[in-house]
Amino acid sequence: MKARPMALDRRALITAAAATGALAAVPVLAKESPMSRLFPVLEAIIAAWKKQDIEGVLAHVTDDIVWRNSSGYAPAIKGKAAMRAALTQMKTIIAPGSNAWRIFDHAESADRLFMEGVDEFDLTTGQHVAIPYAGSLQFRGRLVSEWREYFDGRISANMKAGQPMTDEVKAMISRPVAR
Amino acid sequence: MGRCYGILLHVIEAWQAKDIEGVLSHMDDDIVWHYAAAAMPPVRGKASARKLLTNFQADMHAIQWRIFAYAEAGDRLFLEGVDDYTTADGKRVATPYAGVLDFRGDLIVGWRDYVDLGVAAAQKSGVALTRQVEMLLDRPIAS
Repeated sequence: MKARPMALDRRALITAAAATGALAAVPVLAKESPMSRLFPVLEAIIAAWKKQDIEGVLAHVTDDIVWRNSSGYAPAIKGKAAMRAALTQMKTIIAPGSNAWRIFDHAESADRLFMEGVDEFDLTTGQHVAIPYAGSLQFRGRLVSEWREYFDGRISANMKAGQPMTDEVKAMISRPVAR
Repeated sequence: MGRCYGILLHVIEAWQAKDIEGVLSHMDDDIVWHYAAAAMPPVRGKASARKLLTNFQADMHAIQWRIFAYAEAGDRLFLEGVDDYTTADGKRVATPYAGVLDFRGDLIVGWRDYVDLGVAAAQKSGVALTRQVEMLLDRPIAS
């Protein structure tokens, strides 16, 4: 789940072309931790969000959740009420049934879950959006108390504006899903 | 300390000393390096990595690259950190990021850094660090 990014011209920074198959040389992709304690919570959140079940998502976060979903270009969303408002706004623009949010790999350390994945969905206005990202979830007990996501906001801005998926994005999201 | 994280600390130490060959000594010949994952094409192979590092080095000074948190799963290292440096014309750039490193033995064979290049571009143009960036940086360094 990502904040609405500011509109910048990504094309101005792209200097080279296709990267199809970019991950082919990496032999360890999609390995998974055999003892995942926290990952099932993220799976439950993903399942809820795919159904656009906002309260189902919020059931897994603390009342004082801090949600940093912009790599630093937008302020954090603080508190469950603010997160509910943000999710409600997001729900209005995401086409029901189109959400293909998925995680490619993850790791855990004490109360923190790291993940690499993609937010992929259609807008109600028809555009297809895919945002590769990495991030971490800080837990307090079984609840997420801080959520940080890192990605290039111009990718989603450009796709929301109707630009096609780049070869770089295609390469990053063409990977097996973690289990 | 995790095995993979220990190797990354050697990479950071070499980069802060502007020792490009020291950095490269921890990379596999077949490395695929997404220095801006999904935003830019990856660099493939050690020779290309050397060129990229050389280009980076020209505009990166007073490097304060640091890691706030990490976790390992098998041969993969996840981390959160910041690339913090001063450009040749005196601008401070500090970009929070998350990275994923894949190891083959003790060498890095896959490297994916997720960062917002728009944040870096604004800082390079002279925009001060935003409050939200400062909050992401205001964390203790991982031990």
